[in-house]
Amino acid sequence: MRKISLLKAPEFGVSIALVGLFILMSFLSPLFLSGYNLLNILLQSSTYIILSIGMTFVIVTGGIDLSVGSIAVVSGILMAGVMKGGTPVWIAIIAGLAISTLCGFVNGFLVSKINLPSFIVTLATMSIFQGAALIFSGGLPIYGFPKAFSFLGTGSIFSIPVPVIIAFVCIAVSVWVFKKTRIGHYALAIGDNRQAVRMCGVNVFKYELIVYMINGLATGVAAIITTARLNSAEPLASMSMGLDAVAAVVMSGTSLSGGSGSVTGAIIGSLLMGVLRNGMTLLNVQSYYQNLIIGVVILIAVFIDKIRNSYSYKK
Amino acid sequence: MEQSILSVKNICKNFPGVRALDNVCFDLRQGEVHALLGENGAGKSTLMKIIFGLLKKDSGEIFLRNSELKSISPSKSYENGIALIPQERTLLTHKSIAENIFLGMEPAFVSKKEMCLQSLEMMKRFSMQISPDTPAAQLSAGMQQTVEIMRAINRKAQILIMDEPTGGLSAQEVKRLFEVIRTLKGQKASVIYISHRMEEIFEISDRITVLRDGKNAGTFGTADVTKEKIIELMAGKKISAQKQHKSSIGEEVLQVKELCSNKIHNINLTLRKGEILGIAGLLGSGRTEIFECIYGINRDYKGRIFINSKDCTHYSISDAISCGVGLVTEDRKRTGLSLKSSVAKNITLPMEKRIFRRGIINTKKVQTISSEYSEKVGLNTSDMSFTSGNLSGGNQQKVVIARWLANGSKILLLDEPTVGVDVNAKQEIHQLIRQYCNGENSVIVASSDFPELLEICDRIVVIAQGKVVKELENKDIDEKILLGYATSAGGEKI
Repeated sequence: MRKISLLKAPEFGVSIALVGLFILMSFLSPLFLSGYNLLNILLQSSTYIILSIGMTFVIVTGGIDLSVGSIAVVSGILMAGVMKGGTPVWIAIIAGLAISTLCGFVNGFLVSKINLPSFIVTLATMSIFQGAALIFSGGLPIYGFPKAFSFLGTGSIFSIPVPVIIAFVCIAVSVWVFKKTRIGHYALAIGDNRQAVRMCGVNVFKYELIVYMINGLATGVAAIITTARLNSAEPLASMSMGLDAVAAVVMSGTSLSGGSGSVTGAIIGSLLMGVLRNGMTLLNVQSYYQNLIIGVVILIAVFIDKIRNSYSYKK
Repeated sequence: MEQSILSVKNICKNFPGVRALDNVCFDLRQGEVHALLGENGAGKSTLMKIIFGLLKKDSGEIFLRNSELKSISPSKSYENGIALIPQERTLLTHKSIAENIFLGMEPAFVSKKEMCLQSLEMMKRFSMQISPDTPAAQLSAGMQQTVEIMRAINRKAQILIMDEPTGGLSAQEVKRLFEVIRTLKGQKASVIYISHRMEEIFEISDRITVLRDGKNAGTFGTADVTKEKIIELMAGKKISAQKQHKSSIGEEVLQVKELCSNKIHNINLTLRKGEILGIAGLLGSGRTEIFECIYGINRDYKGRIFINSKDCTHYSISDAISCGVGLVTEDRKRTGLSLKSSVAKNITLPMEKRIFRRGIINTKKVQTISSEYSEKVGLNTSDMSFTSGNLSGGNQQKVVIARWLANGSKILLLDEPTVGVDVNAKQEIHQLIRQYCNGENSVIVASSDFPELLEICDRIVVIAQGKVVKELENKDIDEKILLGYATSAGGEKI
């Protein structure tokens, strides 16, 4: 019974892949299992974990947000600009989080109230936010921040890197929000059957809006870490940021049509990507091959999930 | 009699924990319509899926024209002249009729003209008088059904498996479908006809096979058997149709005055406390639209709606719910249930205020509320974490009803409450409705299943073409009278 329920868990495929990869890597590279390297994996994965958490909320409602890369850029540039103006760090951080949440609001409003497809909305806002960041910065990177800010990206507490601590806080909060609050409850229900939820008198608009705002907020947090780590805010977004987050979520068996999925799965997915990247670097795999291999691993994880699904359909 | 064209011998199929088919034998003769009956979960669909190749059998043999079929797949079935017409429509809605008929069969160099000409030829045979260029989306449910059949015929199918073919069809369309089936019979094709609707089966079929709990409970010539016998075999026990008794009826709880929207005209209705009001109407008569206005799904209407003498005109869905109204929609899969979610979640879905405290879910409360009410409605599982989509149709409907009972709704609107539900569950749902209406609560049932309305309602309002045609006390009236009114006023002719 227990075995079956484990097998039925949507995170099964990606977990197997992660464990398998972990064992494989520990044989292939003596450096892999060192405490330093493991912390390094967590550090490298922290932004992806945070992004994929936000993305999970959107995807379980049946939506998608392609604009997270641009939101991160807008948020980073604004934070940097504000700090350059001599404003205290904490105000800059609040401004950055506010603008990213606002970007999420715009996406959510267009998707939910105006009822446009999320794919198209966020494709458009991806370009809009990117443009806004370029206009604001004049196309140039903004760099050099106060120590207190850099600490968020490069510092550590009890030798644990600050980004890892931030990621853990985000994990704790989001798991709770997803499982225990009405936001997670209705986000899943909306993705499952929007009409049925509406028929029950639930304010679907409100919850969809919140979900996109959560994604915006999470992106803002990720933007703080990347900006602080690089000590520079780049006005050119990395478009793959959003897609990587989507990949991490989908790998864990979360259906793009909504209604199923979990934050835990997205975290495992992000870790899988992190271990993979780290491992390939340790083994001196050329970066061209790295992309290729990551793609293959995504397919394998999704394939395992498909097998699991057909198994559980047969009961 | 003709020889058998398809015969199935000792088929067994196990799903983990369930014996879905247990030594089932079944044969189909050339040129016959063979009805397959059984409650939900009796194994009808499983058997058909095995014959068509969507599922693999565990053991047993299948013979087609006396030669055994060793490996079966959908594509081989088409080659063998077997076609499955599933319950859900599979047309591509943006494509034309012709393209749909030829789907998967397109010649290497597609000449649209040729396809249209051939389609037109075929459509004539089924008396469809529209252009083959018409997109499928514009067709009525009945016409879509016919296109599905034509697609099968175009693949030279000699054996057609039809799963609930009359779901969502109007009486007129059912009649036309039967003509199509008779045409097919005339051409020596055989049909396996799966349905719950007893009247239809007795009208169209030559033989009837009843499945119960994965076993063949008997095969009969349609002429040699009665409905009662069939129902008894399906249920495995005798069901006595109970005539409703009437409790006291109190003051008016719902008034609809001069309601007009784009599909209904000047509807006046009153519902009293403790009353079961029936709205008898055929497909497209406006019965669903009335509910949509009362429940606030459609707020673009003229007229007034009063609930407990309070003016509730143009209320939203959540306002209507807080006034004590609940709606069980016609299509539970599309608008009723979150199929991937648990039973508990579905039952408590409208109870935002009750199950959340400062935004945080009270799991215990969800559990107690849902177990209490699923027991009340007689759900077949006590596992509240059970995925709703895996329940049978009747049990899914019970979950939706339990939702509104748990929510303390005083006025329940039921739209085709027993569509796609087996005979036994239908009786149970009727019983539930009666219990619910004992004194405090009231119900409006909209249905095209007139015997159902006659069985449970106190009063019946007949509507046709968006207008109230007649209001009747449920005394000394029968199906014919209702049907007469429902088809009057230039409504759908039968």
